[in-house]
Amino acid sequence: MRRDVTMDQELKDVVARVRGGEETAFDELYQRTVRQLYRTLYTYLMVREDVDDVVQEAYLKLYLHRKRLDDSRSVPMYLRTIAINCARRTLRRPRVIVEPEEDSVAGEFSEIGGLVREALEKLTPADRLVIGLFYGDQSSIHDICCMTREKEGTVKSRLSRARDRLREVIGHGQ
Amino acid sequence: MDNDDRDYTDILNGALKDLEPRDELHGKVRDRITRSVARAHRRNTALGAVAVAIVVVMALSAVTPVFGRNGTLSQVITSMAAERQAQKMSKVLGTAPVQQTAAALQTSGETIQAVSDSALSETDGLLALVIAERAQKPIADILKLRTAGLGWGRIMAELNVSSRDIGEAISQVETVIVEVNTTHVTPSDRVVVSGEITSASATNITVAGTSFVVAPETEIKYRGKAATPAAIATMLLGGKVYATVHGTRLADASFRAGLVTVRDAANDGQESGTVPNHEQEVHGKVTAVTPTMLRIEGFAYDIVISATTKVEQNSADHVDISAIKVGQTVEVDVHLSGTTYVAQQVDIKDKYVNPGTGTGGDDSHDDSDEGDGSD
Repeated sequence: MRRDVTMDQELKDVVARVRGGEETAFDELYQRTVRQLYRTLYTYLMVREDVDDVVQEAYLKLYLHRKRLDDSRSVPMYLRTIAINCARRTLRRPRVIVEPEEDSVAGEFSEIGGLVREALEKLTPADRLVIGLFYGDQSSIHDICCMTREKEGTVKSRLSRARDRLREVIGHGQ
Repeated sequence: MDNDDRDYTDILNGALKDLEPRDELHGKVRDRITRSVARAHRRNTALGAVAVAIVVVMALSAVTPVFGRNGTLSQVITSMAAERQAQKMSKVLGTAPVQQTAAALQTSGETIQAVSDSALSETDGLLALVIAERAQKPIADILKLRTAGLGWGRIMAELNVSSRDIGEAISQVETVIVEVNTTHVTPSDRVVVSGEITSASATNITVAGTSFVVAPETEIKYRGKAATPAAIATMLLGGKVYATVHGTRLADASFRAGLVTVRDAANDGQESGTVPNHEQEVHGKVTAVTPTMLRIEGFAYDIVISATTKVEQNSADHVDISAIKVGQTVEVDVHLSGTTYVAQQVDIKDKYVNPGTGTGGDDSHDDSDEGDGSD
């Protein structure tokens, strides 16, 4: 089992309150879920500003659909699915590449570690997403298939390829 | 989860452990939600206002003639539907839709005349006829309302005629027209009747006791000029009037007038009380012939040939009964005497070929026939 069941049990109550229209419950739901979502999205997008935008959009959609939330287990998955779709749109948008300032780059490197970042940058965004969901979010292959709408074989290939690349980069670094 | 997976999980989570959402992100999420909710609220309010306005207008227009002389909204809609039906019908009828509609609805000549005299379009004229028929009102009443500028929907409402009534009437017209147009006419269905006109209306004329339907294509002539059934009806008021009607027998055994040649008593050359002759023109190929009998393809009865029967042939000076051969195309004027059809004249349409020259051997002179054998 790759999921934290206790977390889901606690979420159940929060989701019920959100569904009931309690505004503070939504804030609580945000606080409980945002950190992991943020990290997963960062693994995927690698740009904080984009992650911020996607997080805002994802929670807005979750809020607009809050009356239709059914059970606690589906909510984190539902939130991630929304966020992944938003992130895909962000990646498809034409982007202006701005050379980051040296301090900023150094800051981000220190946040996630130079070697890991280097390894992730060598992967495609789709492969990074699978890594983020599988290792960071502890999602099962089945759940990753549901969230990314990719076939199991594709997800496993991405995972294997990403793992090899991580091993290669991190191995060299050590 | 194997050891490798644990290692990668630890590495990734270790690398990301310091990555936290910025503090202001929650505020941004909340702002965005607030803005979105406010926008949705404004949109819903606007849509609600529009919906309420539409409902109010609809409710108001259903009881108040907000469209002026066109009446209420429902009357305008009714009018549009009726006009659409009439336009469709007009297209189906093709030529002279008003006249065809009038004939199908069996309206009077005066009614047709009134519609023709009005400035209504063909579609409006057709609708006026239908409404008048359904409302059982004189056409003048409908024309008066229309001339006053009232919409058809309002007129229908005032006369208590529904859209369904219009649809039924138009279906009725369509049925009649289709029946007339699909009737198969064979040569033996042609009839010629001469005699006194006993009645005339826009839809019927009775000559020598035989009633003919007056169709839109019926041609009526009096002293070489076109005449109307209404004019004949007027003439009947002044005395006896006679006519020869060339008509067609329809599938339902009624007759439709094709050409009506009207004569008054002075020009008739016949005394009043002349017994009407039931004459008929039969056209077709000769299937059998004897010196006393002729049989024509498509005509169910044998035709008696008498000594007084005249025979004529295309390009021939003088021919007699012996010139009639099997296979020739002939036109025979027959007279029904009791139960026997007697040929008055046989007109051989095939060109005459002189046996001496041997030219024109494409006709049927070589055919053996019963006539030659019995001479």
